[in-house]
Amino acid sequence: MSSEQTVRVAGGGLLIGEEALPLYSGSVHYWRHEREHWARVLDGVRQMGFRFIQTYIPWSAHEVEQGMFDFGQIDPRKDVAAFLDACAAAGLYVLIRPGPHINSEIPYFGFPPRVITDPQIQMRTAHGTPAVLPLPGTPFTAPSYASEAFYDAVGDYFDALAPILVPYLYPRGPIVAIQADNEMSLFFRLRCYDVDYHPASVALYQSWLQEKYGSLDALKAAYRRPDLQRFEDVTPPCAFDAQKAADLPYYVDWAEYQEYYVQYGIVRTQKMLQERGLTGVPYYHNYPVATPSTPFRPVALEAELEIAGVDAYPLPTEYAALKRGVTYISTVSHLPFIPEFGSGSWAYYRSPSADEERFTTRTVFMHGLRAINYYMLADRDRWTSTPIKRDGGIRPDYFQLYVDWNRVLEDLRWDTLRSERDVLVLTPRLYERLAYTAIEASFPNQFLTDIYYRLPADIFVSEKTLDLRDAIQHRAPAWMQAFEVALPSVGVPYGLGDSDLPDEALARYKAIIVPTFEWADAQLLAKLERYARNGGKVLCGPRWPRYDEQGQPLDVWQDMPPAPTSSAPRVDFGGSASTGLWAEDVDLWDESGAASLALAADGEAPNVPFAQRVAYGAGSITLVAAAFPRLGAIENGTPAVYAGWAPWLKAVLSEAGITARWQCSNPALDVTLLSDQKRRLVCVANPRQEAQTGTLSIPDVQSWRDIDSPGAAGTTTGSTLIAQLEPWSVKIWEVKR
Amino acid sequence: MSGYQPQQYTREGGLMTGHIALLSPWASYIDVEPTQWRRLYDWLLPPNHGNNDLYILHDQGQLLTVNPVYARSKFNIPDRIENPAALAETLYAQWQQGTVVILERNQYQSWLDDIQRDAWLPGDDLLAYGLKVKDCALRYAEDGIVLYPSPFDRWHDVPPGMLTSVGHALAPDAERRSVLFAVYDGDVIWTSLILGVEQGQVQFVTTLPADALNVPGGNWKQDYPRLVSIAETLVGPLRLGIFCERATFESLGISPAHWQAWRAAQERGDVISAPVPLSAFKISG
Repeated sequence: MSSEQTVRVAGGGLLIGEEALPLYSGSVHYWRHEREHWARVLDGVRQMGFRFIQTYIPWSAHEVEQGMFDFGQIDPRKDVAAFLDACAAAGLYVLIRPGPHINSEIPYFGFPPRVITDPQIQMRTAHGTPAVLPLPGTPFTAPSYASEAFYDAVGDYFDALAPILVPYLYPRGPIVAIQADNEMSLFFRLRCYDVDYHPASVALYQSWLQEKYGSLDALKAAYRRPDLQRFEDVTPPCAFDAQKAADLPYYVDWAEYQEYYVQYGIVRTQKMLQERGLTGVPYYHNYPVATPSTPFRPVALEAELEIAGVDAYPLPTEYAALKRGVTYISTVSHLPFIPEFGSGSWAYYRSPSADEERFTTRTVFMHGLRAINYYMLADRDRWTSTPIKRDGGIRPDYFQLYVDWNRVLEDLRWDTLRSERDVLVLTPRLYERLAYTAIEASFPNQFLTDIYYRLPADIFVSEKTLDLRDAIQHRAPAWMQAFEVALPSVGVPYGLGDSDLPDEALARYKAIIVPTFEWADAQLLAKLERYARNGGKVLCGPRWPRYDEQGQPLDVWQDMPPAPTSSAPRVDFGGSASTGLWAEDVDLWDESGAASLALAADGEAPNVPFAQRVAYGAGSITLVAAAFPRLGAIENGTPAVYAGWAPWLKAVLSEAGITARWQCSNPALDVTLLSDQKRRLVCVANPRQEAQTGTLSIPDVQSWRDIDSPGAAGTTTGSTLIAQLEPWSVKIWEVKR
Repeated sequence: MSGYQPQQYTREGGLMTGHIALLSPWASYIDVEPTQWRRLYDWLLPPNHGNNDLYILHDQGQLLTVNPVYARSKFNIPDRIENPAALAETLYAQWQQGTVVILERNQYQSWLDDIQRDAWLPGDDLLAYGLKVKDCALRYAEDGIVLYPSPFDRWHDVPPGMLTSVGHALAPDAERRSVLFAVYDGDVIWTSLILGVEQGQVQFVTTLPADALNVPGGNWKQDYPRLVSIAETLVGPLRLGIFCERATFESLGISPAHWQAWRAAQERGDVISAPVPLSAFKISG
């Protein structure tokens, strides 16, 4: 970071000069309000307790014709400098989002039509046709972020815009952060063999291969293609035709390239803005979804810019996905930030009620979020249900929601709190790339019809095992799910990361849970072996790894468990045969085999015949040699069902030195703990449509203060509490040890 | 292949599910009141609230995947699919949760390829584009893309058709171009829409403001002039206002095909229109 950096990411927010502020923000779009309403709208934002706003700067709205721009000379609503003055006058700092892609529910996502109709610029499908986005109201062709003609056009826009913005950078003005481009995701066309086959992208792919492999010989060995004469001989795959594991490097490389492509576009946009004087403040980006999957790579992106955020537009019914996404980003990011969190909705979607927004807002903070931007705080065309109307009038229920929640965040100093987590569940990116790659058909996106919209995510994921024991693309997520869902039921909170995390990040956890198969990422295994030798506990499975991604024998993880004594096609963990949890294709180290899988007497850990621990230095690697049923294989795959293997999970965790932080009698309730040196919070969510009651015990707690019921009426003493929660609600207690 | 006939691509007519094109993809939405909007959305689009469909993917009859996975054994879905249409109908009776979708991998991929080669033309409006997609799908409807019951059957019953048709009927009148639609539920307005129409298209959408929702006296047949006054203050003279109770609204449905039913309801006194009767408009279904 340069010495001229006047704003920095620090702690739970931004350090602006000498002032540390938590980053709680909301979006207002200046060009969509009458100018005489700006002051009233911004005043409403301040009254809700916000210190930041965020705004797009739309290229297509400002460019009158090529080379001519209206920054207020024609339409006073487009006077971005005057708007920044108004923000400063209102005491608001500003996060700007100059694009070039902005979406914002405006035609062509903010690109001038001349840009997206230029054949040199258009993103291409595997058939070479322009990649059209079927979005309301007019479908348009997406640009290729490998096209030099595209960057030339963007440069002209930035040349006009930057001189207006530079004088408003902090400390001279209110701009304290800049978003580089927007929701980079190949324009939501997240299917491996769909786009971008633009000639410039293919050339970029080939140069990336050269960078990755270093020499043609290395590439020829990896691809088993002695016929290759030069890197340009490699063309990207257009379908998944792998027959054996040795074929996989060619396909997963195309997935990894798409990760590179997305980051290339973001970083190049950032550099173009920096080259035009927009420096000294943090840059951030907003991935459209929060999953540790291709093409999103937040850890790598944060090596290039300050914050890799993720967007979320949740309804209460989407609690599980929201929790997983926030858990992930709060594990891997320097500042867990949602740059677009749904406040209201676009016009052709269901508007959440204020109560629903209260639930989803508390959900993201209880799972580790520390910075947020509500999108939108003020109504505008094609957006409804916000706290402030277009003329600055308020909607009382939504308005009060933010007043109250901002007060809670401030009173509890939420920005200083951290999630209490002993365990890291770690996703190998290699397996995520395989799942992205190994598909039977490649379809464009979900924005069109019922057929697109309703398709389950994994319907096209191939069931081929190739020449391996397992269909890794299915069994890796299933294995992780068995742990992710069951860990809270045994009172063990966890973080969710991916294999990009560095050694020092892994070292924060007592144990790491990671899916492994015969075919594995050698670099990740080396990292995990270092972690174990330094005292960490690794839980892996269902197979002990044997080959690297190119099919070569591994030179790590050489100490391995003994050969299993038997195996079982299926082991049940209780419940009925059709609805209870089971493991399948299980290896056993017990002469009595699956018959020994029985609950022990009260208070005793059960025998776990499908696990074997191997000592590594000061730590260990434990193989849990049980595959779990594919996602969707259990008719009632609720958390309660996954709690069926809790006794064995507890035994495995106990071996690794992990003990429960809480006990809760109702598996429908979800519990998290957050703390800093001064305070500790217990958060409980009821993500069901029925009211729930549960007895919650935390051994070292002496008293509980319900933050929604101040005073004696909200205080409970002792280590146990009966928690009663309304449907779709989150309750928060400040507890004393 | 089915006996497919290509359609004419026009802006009228339903093709998109409301989830995408609720009301009009071109309209501006201005200070829509959230509760009324949510009720309208919930009423129009209950099928989109959850994914309860059963999906089967096969390769020239060889079963590849079933979602949800457990359905494969529960319903004894065969490894070899000889007659997808018959299987879909049989499974629908057992499944009882939603549509059964059976996709042949190669034909489905061909459909996607067709769309990208033939239908995805820059500059198409969304409705024309969607119609092409639908037509492409119909080419494969016999054994490549089988849906039971077919969502294509529902596409005639989407709201933009009525609104666009209303817009066409109103277009010749230059002065009175706005439409108010209000649904009463006891002593409150349950939902409403105010539409601005120009050149036969809905140009903007809003709702009655929150402070107008309580009905003094609780009698909707006496209250509606109040709403006319509020709407005209917001958007100028109304060309048409339509008022009814929630039960009437839910029983009639909003589709061009139902226009005659609305007129009949007005004759019964279950629907009020102002300032002119519904018979003044010729709405084709």
